Amino acid sequence: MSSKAQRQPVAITFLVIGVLAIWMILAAFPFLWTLWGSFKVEGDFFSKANWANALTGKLTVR
Amino acid sequence: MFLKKVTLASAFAITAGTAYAGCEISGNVSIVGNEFPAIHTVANGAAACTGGDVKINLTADHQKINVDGMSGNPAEYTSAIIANSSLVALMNADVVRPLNDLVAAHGQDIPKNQLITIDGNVMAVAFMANAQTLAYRKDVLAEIGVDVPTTYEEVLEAAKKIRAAGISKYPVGGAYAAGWNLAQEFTNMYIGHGGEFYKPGTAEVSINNAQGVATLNMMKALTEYMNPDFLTHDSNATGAEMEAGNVMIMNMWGSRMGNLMDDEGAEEQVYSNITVGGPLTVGGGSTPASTLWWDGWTVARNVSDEDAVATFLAMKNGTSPAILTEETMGQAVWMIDGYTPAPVNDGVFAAIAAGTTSYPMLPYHGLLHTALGGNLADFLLGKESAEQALADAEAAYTAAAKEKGFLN
Amino acid sequence: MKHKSFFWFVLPSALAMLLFIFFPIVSVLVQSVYVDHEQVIKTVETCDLFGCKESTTVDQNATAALRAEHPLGQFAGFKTYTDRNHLAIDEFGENWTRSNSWRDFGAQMLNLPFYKAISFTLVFTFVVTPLVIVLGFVVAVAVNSAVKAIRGPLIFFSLLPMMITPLVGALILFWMVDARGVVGAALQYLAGDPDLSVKASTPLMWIMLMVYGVWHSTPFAFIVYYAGLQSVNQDTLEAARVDGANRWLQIRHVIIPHLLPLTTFIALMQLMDNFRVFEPIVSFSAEAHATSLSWAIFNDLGGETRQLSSAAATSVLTIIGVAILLSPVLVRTWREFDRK
Repeated sequence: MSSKAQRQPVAITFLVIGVLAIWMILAAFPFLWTLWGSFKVEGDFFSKANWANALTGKLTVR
Repeated sequence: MFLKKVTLASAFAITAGTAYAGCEISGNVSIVGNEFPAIHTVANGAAACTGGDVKINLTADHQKINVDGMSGNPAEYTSAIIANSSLVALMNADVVRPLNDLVAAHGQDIPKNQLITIDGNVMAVAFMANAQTLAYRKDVLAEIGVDVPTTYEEVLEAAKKIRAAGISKYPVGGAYAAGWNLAQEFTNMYIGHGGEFYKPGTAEVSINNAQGVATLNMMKALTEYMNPDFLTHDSNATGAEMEAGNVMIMNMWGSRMGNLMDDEGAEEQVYSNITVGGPLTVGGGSTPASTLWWDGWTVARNVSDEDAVATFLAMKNGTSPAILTEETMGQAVWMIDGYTPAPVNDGVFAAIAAGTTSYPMLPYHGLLHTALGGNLADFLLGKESAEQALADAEAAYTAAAKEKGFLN
Repeated sequence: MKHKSFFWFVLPSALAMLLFIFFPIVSVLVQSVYVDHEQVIKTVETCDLFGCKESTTVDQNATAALRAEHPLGQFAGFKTYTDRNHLAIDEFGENWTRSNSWRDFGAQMLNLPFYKAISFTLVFTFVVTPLVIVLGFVVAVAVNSAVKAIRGPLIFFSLLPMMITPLVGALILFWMVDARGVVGAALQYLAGDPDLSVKASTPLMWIMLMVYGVWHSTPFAFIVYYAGLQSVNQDTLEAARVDGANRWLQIRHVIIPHLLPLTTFIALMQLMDNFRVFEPIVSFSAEAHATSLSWAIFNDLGGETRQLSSAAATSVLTIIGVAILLSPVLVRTWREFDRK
């Protein structure tokens, strides 16, 4: 069981969560981005006009 | 659409077997070559021969493996499908054999101009021609009210108008990726300015002159209208930019026009308006700023005579009039009887008609090509002057040529 | 262990090293002191698809005779090492006398291929290595502090950048950083400059390559440190806590000293690996902005005319460079061993 003395302070918990969140984004995002993009056409995925195209995939034909 | 392609492909595959029936070989064949549709067609034609084993290895990295692959005894490959510059590398390494006796015995019907002869020896049999010429969007040129450019100066003017009209910010395309591609573009432009690469009769390089500087300045002017990442764009990337509708005018290989003008990978408005033009001139000169290339097949030296005969017959079959079908006709400018030009090939024919120079087939030019590819980027990035960049390229070439024994 | 049993134990590995490391290095050394024979050129008539004309070609018979006599080529001594493509001794002297300022001299030297390559290689090595160690440590401590339930997935995703082939990983980042990709567009937005392109700017490209280096190698440091963290002496940690040390002091005085040997190990591996940087330059098509020693070797061998002696000389110089880089650590390890 953990007493108050052994539980880590709240600040540390947030710091740890923050660091892990940033690192997860850095490590995993490129691969998820690639996976998502493999189902889209270049015109959509790299569209400068409207970045939401990458999500909705206007030009990508199912 | 997809179903249509599948049925077409399977029908082609079935008929292909019957069309080439009649090619009997009694030895083994192993082919190495570049990877694009026309070469696939040739390799498949060779593979249709019966009686022997035919292995095919087509890859974009063929230049890295063909010399070594044919150096062994027996060689790993019995035939290399190469372009003119690569033949020099194979001959320097002495891995290809003269075909005079094979031609006399089995190839009397091959047109004479297809036989690449050096010092009386037939070293390769060419089957297609290629060149870089203009490719443009005719709807965009019509919109800004400009005629089809015939010189690079006109290209610059058209680009300025396209940008001013807000149609595209970076309308010019070019395979300016640092390395082989950049050196190739320099070679084209330098020839267009009438420049000579070497001091006559020697291997001493001489490009740091007025024509060299003019070439670099024109290239710099063109890059002002190109996507800023041009130093990372090879032919594939530049073609992709045109298909994406960003590039409106560019200098592109004839063999890739088929991919650009087909109905895949681009919107209808884009692909139906991509048109091929002739080669461009520059600086008021009459020599086109382009080079002529041929692709041909060779037979390895370090193979048994039986395999050599089999290879000759198989490759001859692969480049015979029988391979020309509706699907394959547009893949290249086939220098084969029965070839009827398609619109995609207009550019290469125009290049031949305009008297375009062939790419220099000198034993030491590969070293200059590499030296140029590694040293011109600094000028285009604005880090050094044109004279300095050319001097660097010359110094790099001289060091390499001394090491390879072409200079003392 | 008795010397005899040690000998038999080590024999297979030693043989393998002799065969696959020592002999190839000797071969490369030998290749680097020879150059090709002088080519005998003759003028001939060449006929191709487009007509006949005069051209030059190599006289195969004469060259073949030379090659049969001296297969290795001409002995050139250290000429390849001192030529322009390597240490460039002559150009070094010229630049020294010709240039007016240190800056000018520096610019002239960086124009030479070998110095250009080694400058990027060294910057890459000395920026990426400490960053990898620090970041790997931070991530390891963070993962170690996380709830046990999610540690599995955390470790999996943390290892991904290292698991994926360097060429593919770098290509993914290359596309993200493209002017129209996620990171490229975000950078343009943040900088307020719609023309900003990482691929077109040398400093930005260097930074991007180093970012890739850190991204790719951090999982290695992470997993080594994470393993080390599992063996931290709990009693010492407990004692520190009782003494009133906060989290930061615990880390500084207990955990970091415990992980010091691992740090030496990671530093060694990273120095060696980063000195050989090659894949990101190819995947990012960055050769216009940055070249490295390994890339220079690849470039020499990749053209249609292979420059074997030049590549061999650069290889030997790379080996010497790695030896110099690792010498402090090796000397220290040897001294410790000797002391025992």
